[in-house]
Amino acid sequence: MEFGKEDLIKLYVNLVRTRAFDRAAIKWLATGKLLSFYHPAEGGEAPGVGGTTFLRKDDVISPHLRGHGLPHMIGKGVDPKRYMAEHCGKATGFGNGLGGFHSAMDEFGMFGGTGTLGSCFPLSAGWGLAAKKNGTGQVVVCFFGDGTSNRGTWHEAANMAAVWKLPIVWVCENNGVAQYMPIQDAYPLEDLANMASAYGMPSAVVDGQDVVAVAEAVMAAVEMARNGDGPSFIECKTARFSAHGIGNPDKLHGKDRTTEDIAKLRERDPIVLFRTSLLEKGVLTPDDVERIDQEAVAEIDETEKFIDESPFPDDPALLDAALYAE
Amino acid sequence: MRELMYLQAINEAFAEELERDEKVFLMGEGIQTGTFGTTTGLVDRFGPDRIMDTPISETAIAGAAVGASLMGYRPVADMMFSDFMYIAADEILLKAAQWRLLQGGTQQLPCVFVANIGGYRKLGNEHSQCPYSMMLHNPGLKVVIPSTPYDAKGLLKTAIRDNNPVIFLYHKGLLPVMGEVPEEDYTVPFGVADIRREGTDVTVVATSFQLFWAEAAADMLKDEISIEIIDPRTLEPLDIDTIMTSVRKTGRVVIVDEDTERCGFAGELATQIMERGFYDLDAPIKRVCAKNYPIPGGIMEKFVLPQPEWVVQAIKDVMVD
Amino acid sequence: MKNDVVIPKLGMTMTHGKVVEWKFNEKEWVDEGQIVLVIETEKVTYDVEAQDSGYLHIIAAPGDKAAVGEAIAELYDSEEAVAEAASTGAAVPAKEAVAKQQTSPAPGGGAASGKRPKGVRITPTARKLAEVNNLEYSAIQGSGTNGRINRADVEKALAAGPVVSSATPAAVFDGEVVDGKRVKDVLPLTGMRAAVAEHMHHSLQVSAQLTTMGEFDATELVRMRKTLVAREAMLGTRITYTDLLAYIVTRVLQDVPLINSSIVGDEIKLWEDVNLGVAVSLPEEKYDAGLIVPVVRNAENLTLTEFSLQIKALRGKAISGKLGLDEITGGTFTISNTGGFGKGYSFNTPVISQPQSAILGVGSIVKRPMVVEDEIVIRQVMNWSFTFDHRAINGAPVGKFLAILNEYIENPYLLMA
Repeated sequence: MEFGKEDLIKLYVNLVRTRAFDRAAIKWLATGKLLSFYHPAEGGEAPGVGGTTFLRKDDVISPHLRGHGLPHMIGKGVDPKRYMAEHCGKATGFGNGLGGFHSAMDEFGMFGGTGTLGSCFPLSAGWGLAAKKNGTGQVVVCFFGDGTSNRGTWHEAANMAAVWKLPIVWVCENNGVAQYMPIQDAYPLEDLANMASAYGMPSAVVDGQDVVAVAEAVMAAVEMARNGDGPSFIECKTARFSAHGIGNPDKLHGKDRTTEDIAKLRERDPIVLFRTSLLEKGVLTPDDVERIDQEAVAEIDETEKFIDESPFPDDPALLDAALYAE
Repeated sequence: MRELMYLQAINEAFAEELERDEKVFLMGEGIQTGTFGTTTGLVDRFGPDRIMDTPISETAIAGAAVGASLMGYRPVADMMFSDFMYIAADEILLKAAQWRLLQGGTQQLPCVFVANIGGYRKLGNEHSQCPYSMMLHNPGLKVVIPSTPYDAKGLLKTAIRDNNPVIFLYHKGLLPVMGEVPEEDYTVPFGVADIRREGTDVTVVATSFQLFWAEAAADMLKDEISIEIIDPRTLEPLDIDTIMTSVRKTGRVVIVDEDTERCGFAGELATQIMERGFYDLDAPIKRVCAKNYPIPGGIMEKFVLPQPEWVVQAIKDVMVD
Repeated sequence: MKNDVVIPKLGMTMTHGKVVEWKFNEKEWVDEGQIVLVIETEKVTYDVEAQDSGYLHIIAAPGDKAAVGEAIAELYDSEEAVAEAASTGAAVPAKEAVAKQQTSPAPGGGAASGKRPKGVRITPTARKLAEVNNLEYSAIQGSGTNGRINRADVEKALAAGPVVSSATPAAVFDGEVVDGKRVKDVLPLTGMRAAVAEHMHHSLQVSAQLTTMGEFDATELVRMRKTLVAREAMLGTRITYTDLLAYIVTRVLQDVPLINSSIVGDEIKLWEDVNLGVAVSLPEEKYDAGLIVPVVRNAENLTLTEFSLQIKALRGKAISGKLGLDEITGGTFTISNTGGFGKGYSFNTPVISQPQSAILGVGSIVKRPMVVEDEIVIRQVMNWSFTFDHRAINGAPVGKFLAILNEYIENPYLLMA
């Protein structure tokens, strides 16, 4: 897929918005506005944004846990307001205040997030099966981390998807660490993309800090799936700048990641890399950059206002209504 | 009226619902062949895209059923043995059961998990379970355990048409049992118990295959004790009103259930009866359940699984007390 | 205008808080933001700020517990409003509110659930059927395990009729009128109460009872007891006046054996054994307390401390309902110390426990003016009432008994002799 100027700006804007919402989530967690917990996306935004920004609205995504799916939702075109309201427990959220960070936006092809890592695989197989039955060229893009790829559910679902030629793109966001576990100690080969070959799936390894590279690779795989050529696998080598979750120690095997380690990762900040490239190419001017930043700030302010003005749900009858469908 | 075997009644329900609604499809291990005959022959009529043989992948089958149901299909996941549902516990108990509430009730998950239950086949612990207490313990699932061909067909059709995840559990021991099944279209509603026999001295609530033991016991004791036998048919929703009406009449209760006694459905039902009708009880409630051991392979299972004489003894016990 | 001061939620798990201290008095003006009280949770003590201003009306006293969100005080905009709130008792102190909730009968148990006879084995449905039909079921012979009464037993009893008016039906409590008198409450004349009634009445019918009364100067006895109580650890028991009296009376009974006798047929048997009945009042239940007379056998062989230990053991058994038959029968004389009932309970006419011939009752010990060697002095005085069966005993031995008893009580050191 060829990306024009507008496409590149769209990718950049989505990256900036993702970073802004990620920071807002961290701040709101600290002030008690955001409920439960939060696992920041910082450093690993490009696979989610790059892998979703050019999908069809009816394409299905299964977001990754990092940033609680914000990169993927923003790329998919979901207005994050109601997602963030849900995460803050408000009745105006996508799940009417019952879901927290699990959130569904059916009309954007997002049927909900999962808390048990690895359950994304069988569910994606189901979405892929339905998409195939629909026969409208609909594609499922399932995002997951290197850690999640260790689940046995991967094998069952990857095998089923391959056997049935389901229209699924598996996007592995390999940031090198699963909570406190380095991937080199959890998988014996250099590239997780090796997992595709066992099922006869085409695969690619891309620089996950290069949002354009991600978008190109994923969209190529999406086109294959749309054409009925079955599933494929994209591994994005990306990074995690912060600890696993807010309040967690940033350790590997019980030992701190050093400031040098982090500084080295930060040298390849996907937003900085992309901005520099766009400025060099003249796609963006410094004024544009400034304006895009300000718009992101304004969107955060607007979202916060929406959340603050939203009530909490407080009627237990909601539980009865939500338990069973008619 | 014509008679069908329980397994034929199930097969017929599948066929009618596949015919009625193109969103319905079945998937499972070897279902085109049909390990127990419940799906045999369906592929000839509906094709392999709707009667889908799967790899041995319980989590993928169950998870795919959940996923497809979220996108408007009505998948039936044939899990073969209910024991295998443990493998897909995340998909069935956390996803199917609880997804809708966590999305604020904005979605529907019309999927059915079909599996066989029950022992008395000397198959050991991994092919003999009745694991429905696990399903009942996770709010959001409906649980159906038919005991007759008529109920099997009518309840399965209701299950497929329901807009919620339903666990449909048929008993291995009932598969060849014959019973009247009308030719015309009918369904059996959820949450309506069946009074199988009327009586005035003691209420026996029995589930699935255990209805046989209950009826055998009632026959043996018919000259001395007037026994009312109730089949709840669906455990969730549970028709507690019919049971309580009977309890108020008899004041004595025996619950016969094949699941393991500890934390099982019988204990749950006994508590519900006590809470609603303590002042209607004339004797402590008795349970006849599988004893608290793994179900052994071989003949030793007779010491663990409920036996007809246990039911007789329990009825006598509550009458004396 | 009223604003509540509530227990704030201070943590995820907090459900209740305890009032430690109020920083303001009732009716005092409190400004918004001032620390109005200190509360305590399982974990911390916490200063609670007033969220509004107003005159304070305290609901929960220091020490009271209240649920998170529950009002523990109110703030009014005028002192009059506080006074009104306090006088109408609109706000119920938290403690009482809790207590009331706990004592309300369980739903489904019927209005009579709190008044059921204890210890009757009956199934829930049988009990409900009996209560609905005002059937007194405690006398029904149950056909179930261990004599448990079941529904069929009650149905049989109902069919047999006539229906006995139960002590417990709800209707009784709601305006029953008997002979133009309104009934406040009804107690069943069964069990222990019936036994006592029967026994007392029988005793007065079969014997010629005569009661004489007087007072002992118990000043020295009081002093002696003080000494004994101070040596409680050494003796291994706390000596009571009943213990002392029982010990003294046992001595005197051996000096005047006719008092320790019974009429049996046409003979008066003078007993060698002194089996001393000691009346025990059981813990108070509704309106009254039960009465039982355990018997200390062969009291003549016991030391004071042995007496004390035995009486304590018997009293314990009496209260827990574990007295054996041989522990309440076979008495030859009874003492009844009504001192525990207070100063209003002075002289009385004790009723003999049949087939004994006499009973001694004593009241509480109080300070009274007495004439000693022509001087009015303050002495510790114990009232006594002595009932004897005039069929067996005449005045002379009674006089002798009381004189010796008086001697011991006035000079308990004689017990050493």
